[in-house]
Amino acid sequence: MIATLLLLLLLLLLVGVPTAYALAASAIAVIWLEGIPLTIAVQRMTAGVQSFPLLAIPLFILAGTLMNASGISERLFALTGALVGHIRGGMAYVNVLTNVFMSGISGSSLADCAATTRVFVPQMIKHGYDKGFSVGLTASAAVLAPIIPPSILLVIYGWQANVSIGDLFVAGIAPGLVIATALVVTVAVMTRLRGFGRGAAFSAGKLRDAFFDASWALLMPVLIIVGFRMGIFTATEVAAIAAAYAFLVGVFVYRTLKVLELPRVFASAARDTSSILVIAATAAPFGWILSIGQAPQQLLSFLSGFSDNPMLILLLINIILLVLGTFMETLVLIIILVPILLPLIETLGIDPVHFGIVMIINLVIGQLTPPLGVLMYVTCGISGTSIGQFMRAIKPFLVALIIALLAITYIPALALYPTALLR
Amino acid sequence: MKTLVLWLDDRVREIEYHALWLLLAAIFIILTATVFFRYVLGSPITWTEEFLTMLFTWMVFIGASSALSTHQHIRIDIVLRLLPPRYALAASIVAVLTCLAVFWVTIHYGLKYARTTWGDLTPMMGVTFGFYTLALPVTSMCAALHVIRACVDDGVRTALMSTIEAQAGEGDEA
Repeated sequence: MIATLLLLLLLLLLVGVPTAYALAASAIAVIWLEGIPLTIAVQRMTAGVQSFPLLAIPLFILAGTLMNASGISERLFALTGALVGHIRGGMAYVNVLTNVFMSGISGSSLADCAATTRVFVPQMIKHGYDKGFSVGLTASAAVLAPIIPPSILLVIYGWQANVSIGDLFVAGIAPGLVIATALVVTVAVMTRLRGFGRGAAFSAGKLRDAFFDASWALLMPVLIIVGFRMGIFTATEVAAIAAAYAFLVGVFVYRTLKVLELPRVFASAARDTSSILVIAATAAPFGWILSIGQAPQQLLSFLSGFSDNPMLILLLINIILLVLGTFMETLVLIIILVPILLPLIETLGIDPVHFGIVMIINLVIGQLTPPLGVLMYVTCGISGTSIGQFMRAIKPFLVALIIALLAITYIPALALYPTALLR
Repeated sequence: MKTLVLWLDDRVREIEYHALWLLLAAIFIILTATVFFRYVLGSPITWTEEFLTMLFTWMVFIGASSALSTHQHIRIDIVLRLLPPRYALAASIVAVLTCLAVFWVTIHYGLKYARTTWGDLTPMMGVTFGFYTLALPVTSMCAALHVIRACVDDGVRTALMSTIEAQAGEGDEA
């Protein structure tokens, strides 16, 4: 049953059926073959999105879309440019730092990297960086978005694993900074090797202006964390507050959001939400078959055959996730794998909050490589870079990201200490 | 026939567009108001959770259908690009037929499910569960129409193309 299901899914994905409908079709086919009434598929799909915590997703997406529509990436770019643009390799540091700030506002890497590729790659090329390096760095830095809160993927993980989304968000901060540090170190080494130049000279006045200009946007991540820190807001409420804040800043402070444009912005945020969440709906019957087929038990006995050392099994899971992440949509893997992996994680005594962060970093790194790296496709597509050029440039960054991943995997305190502190 | 499909699909697109922004705006306003009532005025509104989940269910399914018409859905196309044109066309036909088969199931069994749940009432607002269960079959009809329109309008080959691929495609040309 499970083998048929997985084979069908693979086949349908390969012939180009949209992911949501490939999941639905393979589940429907297996349900039909097993002689189970098909109403169950429909019932599972409808129930799949009937969940209040998931409402955080459209609101975080709305907050990000509103901030983007009010020109936030240009403002943050100006700020980080004034901050670190003058040092050697400045533009590359500006890139990483802007992504750190953007991650605190937007929750999805795809949206971020489309915006940052348009802003950064032409700028970096103009400053004498080669194209491959610029695109590779931009794509790697986009990995931060789903790790630094807010994060759509963490909301979905929390919903599937039944873990507090607030805890996950706080747990994502330090690992996000570790990854940013790893990228900064890589940039520093590359700067020394290749002799990148400097940007405009430092000016305190320019920095002050840029800071005040961007400060409204910078307050948003603070608002989100404080909202959770106070412990009185749920994820959905924090998302609503973030969206309301972005709305007020865009319409009344920056005044770049025009009222007549709002329906278009709202519809676009709704469509972005739906193209993600329809997968949560159609993956529900798929996951149901996996669970009645006893996939979690089979995986548990398979993995515990290798070793009973939690650290070793965690390494094994890391490798499996990295490989799967290169083949499959991150979101689909979270929805399908979390219910399967969670019993195993609990048996091993690994904290599900820590595991959530590790899992998402794994899967997002997979988006940077062929055959199915969405971040790779989008950054290469927008900047007009060939996949070969990208692959040569991405190697040092991949090494840095994997070192950061190992550190985050084996130092659970990075994720868990701040959560314990803020609880 | 073709003009009829195009006309009908254009109307559905318009309706979906307005439904989408209105639904998200409603969710946004109601949720913000709920937070305001609960924390600022100290008198929580209790019925909103169920109502919001209902609006949300509709938004997700309408948006999914609408995303097919604007090609914003998510799909994997790596193999299609490697295939020789003849096989790529065959794969596209299989993909379109698979989608239509899924829509047939969600429409037929969705309506059946809506009928059986019509008498059940939701716990908080006491309205019929049909408000939830109708969302999938109704929007599946729209989604099927979008796919058919895309086939009629630009051909089967590009009917299920997504904008992520279009962005990636810019790279191939450069």
